Amino acid sequence: MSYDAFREQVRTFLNENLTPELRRAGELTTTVFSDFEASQAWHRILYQQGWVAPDWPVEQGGTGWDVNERYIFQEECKLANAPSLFALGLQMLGPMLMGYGTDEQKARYLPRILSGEDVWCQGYSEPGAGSDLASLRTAAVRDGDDYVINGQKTWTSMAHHANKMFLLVRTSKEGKPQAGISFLLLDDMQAPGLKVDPIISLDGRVEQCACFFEDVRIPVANRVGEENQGWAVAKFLLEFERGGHNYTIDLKKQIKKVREIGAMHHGIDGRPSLENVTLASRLAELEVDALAVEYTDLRLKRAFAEGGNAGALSSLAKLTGTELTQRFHEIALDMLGPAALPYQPDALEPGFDGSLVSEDYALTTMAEYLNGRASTIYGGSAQVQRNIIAKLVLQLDS
Amino acid sequence: MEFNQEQQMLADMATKYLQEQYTFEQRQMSVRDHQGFNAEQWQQFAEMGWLAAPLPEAAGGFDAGAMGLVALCEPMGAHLVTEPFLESAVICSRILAESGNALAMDKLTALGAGELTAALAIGELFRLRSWSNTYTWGRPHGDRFTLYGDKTVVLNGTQADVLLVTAKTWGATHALFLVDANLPGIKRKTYTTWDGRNAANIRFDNVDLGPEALLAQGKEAERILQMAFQFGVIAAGAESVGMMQALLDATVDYTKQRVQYGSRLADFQVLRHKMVDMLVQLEQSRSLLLAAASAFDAADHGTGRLVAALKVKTAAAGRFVAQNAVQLHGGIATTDDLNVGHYLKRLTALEGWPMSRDAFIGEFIRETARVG
Repeated sequence: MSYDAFREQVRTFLNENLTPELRRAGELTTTVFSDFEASQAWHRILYQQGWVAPDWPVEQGGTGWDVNERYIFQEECKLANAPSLFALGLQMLGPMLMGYGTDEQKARYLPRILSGEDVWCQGYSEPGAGSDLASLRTAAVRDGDDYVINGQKTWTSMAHHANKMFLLVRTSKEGKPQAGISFLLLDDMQAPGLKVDPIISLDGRVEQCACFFEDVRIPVANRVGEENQGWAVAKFLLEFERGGHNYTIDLKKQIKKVREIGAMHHGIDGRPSLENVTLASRLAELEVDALAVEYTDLRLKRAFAEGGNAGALSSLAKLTGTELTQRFHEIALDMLGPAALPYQPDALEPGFDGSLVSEDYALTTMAEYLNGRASTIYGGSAQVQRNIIAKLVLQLDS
Repeated sequence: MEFNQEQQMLADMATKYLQEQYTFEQRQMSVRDHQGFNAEQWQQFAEMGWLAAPLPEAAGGFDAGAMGLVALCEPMGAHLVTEPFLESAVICSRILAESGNALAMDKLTALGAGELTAALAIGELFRLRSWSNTYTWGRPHGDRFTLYGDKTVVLNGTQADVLLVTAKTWGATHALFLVDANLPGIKRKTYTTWDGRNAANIRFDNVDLGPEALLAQGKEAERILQMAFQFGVIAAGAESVGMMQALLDATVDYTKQRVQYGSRLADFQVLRHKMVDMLVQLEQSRSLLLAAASAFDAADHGTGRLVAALKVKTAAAGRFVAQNAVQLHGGIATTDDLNVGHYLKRLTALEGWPMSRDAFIGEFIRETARVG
């Protein structure tokens, strides 16, 4: 099938299956996560179609699409305002289990990730261990066939919706901090001794949680990889978190949104903002940078396919993608001025049927701007990415 | 979006030649003694086929295309070549080749062989260089023309044997003329430029031109200039990328050696992060360079947009990389002895070539509206 025909096929599918409610959830998405219910509903629809895990091998439930087809699919979904899928199982744990898990673990977990039955959250960060993840302290002590977990995880995205968690724990204090870490799978978020507290974000809503562990038991059989060898597994996942995300498509959606605002919202001269020379030039400069990110990502993907350093490449993509996205948030804010100010959290829920106090196109701008500040902090801050690039690409340590 | 084997060979060959035969000391000597034009070097460039490489086969060239141009111009940037490759071999040759004019074809052969150089006379006093904003006239008399006006900052203007001149003809139609630089009525005020090259202000005082001097007019002249400038922006982009890479490499090396407060400069995080930002600017410029060159060679309808993006990006990136290279080197980079400052000068000169970054922001907006 030609790529054009493939694109048509995807569009037809989206037209038939993406309900107005789901599209609205996509439109109102202001972080990497869409409304949870909408996201799950869309997951089930894609699962029925067999399209939920395009990146997985065919025998595990993948689609067999080539890299261009996967890109087209992602792009069409994003631009049609499909809700984002909750990625921790599909994008991170799934591929990781395929590489590091036992046959038993694969058979047990992969089908349930695919179907959406299991929703995984990621227990990585701790109050004292964010970008410097290796300093984590949550302890796992062997007791018979179990590990007993004590400590605290934080910034655990969607822990209040998830039914399972993969987590990094300290199993040894010997040697380098990286050396005593193990990777565990917690089967039940209702397990005795586990308490999940929501964290309210700047937009007034909850995506992140703090998770407290008091003598929580996890079977040793739920460890992935060897004891104290969890860092290799964790690093694989971190590189996925940084590089697995497609910033080019995000930026295309940002351009579309800002152009919509600029066409609809009038400036002090009574003309649409886009006709204002100053704003139009600023937007043009951002679009030039978006093209630069797009073509750099293409070069990185080729370098990656040819065996380049995944860590360095994913850091470069994450750094440039997130910093540029923030600049798009800023120009949207500048176009709107006071029109971005009304705070109407209910209106950001997909089911809202009351009346809006702001223009519809202005509804998400402030939330995106504020929530977007986190993008250069999570997954290793922008400063950590620069450290990685300085070391791996510029080789400044040698 | 990457070099084929032939282009890679061209790039390797150019790098090897320039490393061995075009040292910074030799370059400085040529700037001092020959206004940046070393006739022996130019002859070498011709013999290696570089001067004919950018031209279509029909015009006696090797049809290396925009990607071939990138392969040549990156090393030229890295070695701070001052001979008028961009000004003569890229821009003027391209204009002549596109015109299909019989006299132009004769000149092309001589240009490709290194026997002549050419210059584009487009800038004028009191106005930014532009195609349409001209007060130079080519008045028709029967089938002949009388050229009258003043052109300023004609790059390679001292050296050039052949001038390509933008002017208005009688009905205010824009036209391009091919003018022998030694015709009666032409006066040149010659000088050097900050980036080690030569230029001239040229007065055309009722210069009598035959019908064969008219290369193109109206829409056709516009098309030719636009095409040549696209080609030129890609060449200048490659030269800039070559310079940025050289500056980043030099800065990384220097900060690894220089010790301050008991530590290598490379160990200070604030400097490491600055060098990463330099790398990002460089790599983003390179990405747009390769994308624009591929699009040009494929005659893609989005070429104009990518070329404008390339210009907008490299102008800002070049400024950022050069300024920070000087800053991280410290005082030594403010001297004439070190090459770093000379990269700063050339990158600064290219920022406004062939027109300002702002003009290309406007071009990017128009092209985006055209192709979406």
